[in-house]
Amino acid sequence: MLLDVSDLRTAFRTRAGLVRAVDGVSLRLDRGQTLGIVGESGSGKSVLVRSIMNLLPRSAVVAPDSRVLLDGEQAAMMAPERRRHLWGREVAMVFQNPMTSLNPVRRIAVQLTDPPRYHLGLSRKAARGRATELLDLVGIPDPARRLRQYPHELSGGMRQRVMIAIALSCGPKLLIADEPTTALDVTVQHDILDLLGRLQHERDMAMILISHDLAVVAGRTDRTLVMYAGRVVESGPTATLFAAPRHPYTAALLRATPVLEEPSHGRLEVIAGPAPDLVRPPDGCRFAPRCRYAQTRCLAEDPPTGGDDHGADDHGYACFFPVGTAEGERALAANLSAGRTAAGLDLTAAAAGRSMEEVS
Amino acid sequence: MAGTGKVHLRDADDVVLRAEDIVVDFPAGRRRVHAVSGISLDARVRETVGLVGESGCGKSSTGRAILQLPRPTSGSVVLDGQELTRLRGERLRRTRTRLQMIFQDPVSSLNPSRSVRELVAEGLLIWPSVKGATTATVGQRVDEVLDAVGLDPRMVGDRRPHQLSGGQCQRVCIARALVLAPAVLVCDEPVSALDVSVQAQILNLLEDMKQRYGLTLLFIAHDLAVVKHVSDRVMVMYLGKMCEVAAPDALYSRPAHPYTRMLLDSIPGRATPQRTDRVGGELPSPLSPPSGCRFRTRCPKAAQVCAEAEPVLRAVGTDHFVACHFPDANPIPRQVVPRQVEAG
Repeated sequence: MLLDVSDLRTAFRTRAGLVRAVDGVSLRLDRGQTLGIVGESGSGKSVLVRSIMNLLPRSAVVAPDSRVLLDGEQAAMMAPERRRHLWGREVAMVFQNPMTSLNPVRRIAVQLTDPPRYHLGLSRKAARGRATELLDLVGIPDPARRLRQYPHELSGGMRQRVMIAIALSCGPKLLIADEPTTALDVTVQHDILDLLGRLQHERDMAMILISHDLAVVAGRTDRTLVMYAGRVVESGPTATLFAAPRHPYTAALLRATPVLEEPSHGRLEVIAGPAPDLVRPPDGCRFAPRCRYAQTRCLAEDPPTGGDDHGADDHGYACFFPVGTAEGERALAANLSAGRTAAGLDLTAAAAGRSMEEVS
Repeated sequence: MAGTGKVHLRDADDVVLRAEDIVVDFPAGRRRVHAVSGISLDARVRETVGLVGESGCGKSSTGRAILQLPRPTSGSVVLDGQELTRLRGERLRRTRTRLQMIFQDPVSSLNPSRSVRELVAEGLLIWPSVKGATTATVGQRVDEVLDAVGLDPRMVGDRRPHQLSGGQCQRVCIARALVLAPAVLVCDEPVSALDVSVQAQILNLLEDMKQRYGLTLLFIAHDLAVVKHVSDRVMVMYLGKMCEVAAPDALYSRPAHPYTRMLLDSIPGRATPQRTDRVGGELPSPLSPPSGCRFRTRCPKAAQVCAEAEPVLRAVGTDHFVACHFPDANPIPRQVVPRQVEAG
């Protein structure tokens, strides 16, 4: 087990109170595996990986009993000196915007040779040779010339390739890619995702791929984890999760996304209502106020992660009335005939036809 | 693809907007950036025309040129039989109220110090007579349109943009455009900055508003699935030129242009066969675009003729046009995989 996170809780001190950005997340990742994390903005996906990386601002508080084991070593709230050995060498990260992650006033060569010289003790010359190889590896033509250039002289796709080369420079066991292609065009995105997949496979590296775009994760990961309001609502093998989502939030997200294979002008499913307040999250299931399946029980009790949890495909979901099960279908049918859910969400045809984004 | 040509323009009576040979150049030092190089398009009443392409293809510049923001370097834009490129001053501004635009970032396109009611009323207060409103009825019109876009005027009317979510701000932008009763609404990446669930709300809303107000939409976006979802006709652009024009189903099931195919194959999460003819590389500079077909530097089919002659749009099917020397003559229909989510 390369990465073993259990009950990770990260909150931020703000004037409004403690914002519980990540609230009890557990996940496991083996060597060579790829994990996708999806969720909308504010779901806690970036805070989750930044907690794993120890890349949090001072206002963040990680609960003391949170456990982040990286190769068996506790990584949460690690001492800064130790942490420095971890970053780059054991775990590396690729961020969304390569322009703001690269230093604009230093040449690519410097940024690409610093990590191996520090972590691996390579000489300047050896590091330079390695940098050339790395640029070649990530598909940058004419590496010698590129090494002398500054970030602004490269295109967006090239910069992200450089970021990937830097991340790989010390041979990390785990690569975390946080929205690596969100700022890029679709054809470039395709090439970058191909590149990440190829390198991950060749080097038997584990990878966490974070995206708000379900499709990015769909074809590129072994397992997927869906986050909502700081919690994992569903996790499972990617193919299973997309083909037969069990959590109503996952199902709703999939149906809210336009798909090429469907006729034009169809009606997309809307997830009504605002995302919950993370300072005072609702009792019970956090999705219940917006869920078409919600029953009285959902408003009072926090659903544990259950499902086919310990079966062969390890598909887990935190829901009392999962989509596609007898309980779930009964709950939905009852709500539809009543015209509203236990949380008071209007399910009548009139409400469905209207655009709903209630003001909180 | 460097396509020019106007064979795809229609000769129907209900064409409300017709733009021909639009060229947009921007000065860049001593050189010029060729953002749009001879694009023609038209839109019929109540039609949604989707304009799709990657960044730098000129889709936004085309949309702005139609609104004369700025005026195109050359070309003609005819709205309801009136040539916009020759209008000046007050007459242009008055006519332009029939064309409205919404932008990608709803928060930054709203004045942060104004209330929602003020923001929506602004256009009407400038042109009360043009829009048949009097000072007395402006408030009522504003409340009506806020209600139509799904915002309760009593609750949000006095709020300011920072007190609203991104989705709500985009609703305000839509209300602000609709209050002037435009004939054509140009939507420039209206949902790119929004989360999936909010994106769905805005796309549904645009469909509703189109029905309710009889709007014609020019929908500009980089997301092919979104464009397919809203459009009646899709135009694919590359580096300031038109590649392919078709009805959405034809375009997505039988793409004839290599670039359209490349775009479709790039969509993540689709089970596409491993294509070996993919050419890497990125967009060439619009300062000195390639000769002949502008796509040739990334095209798997590129031949000598592509560097020498610019392909012209020609019909390859009913309402299906392509600008390519070697279009897929008998394109293999793409496999259709229905979505497997159970209805709920």
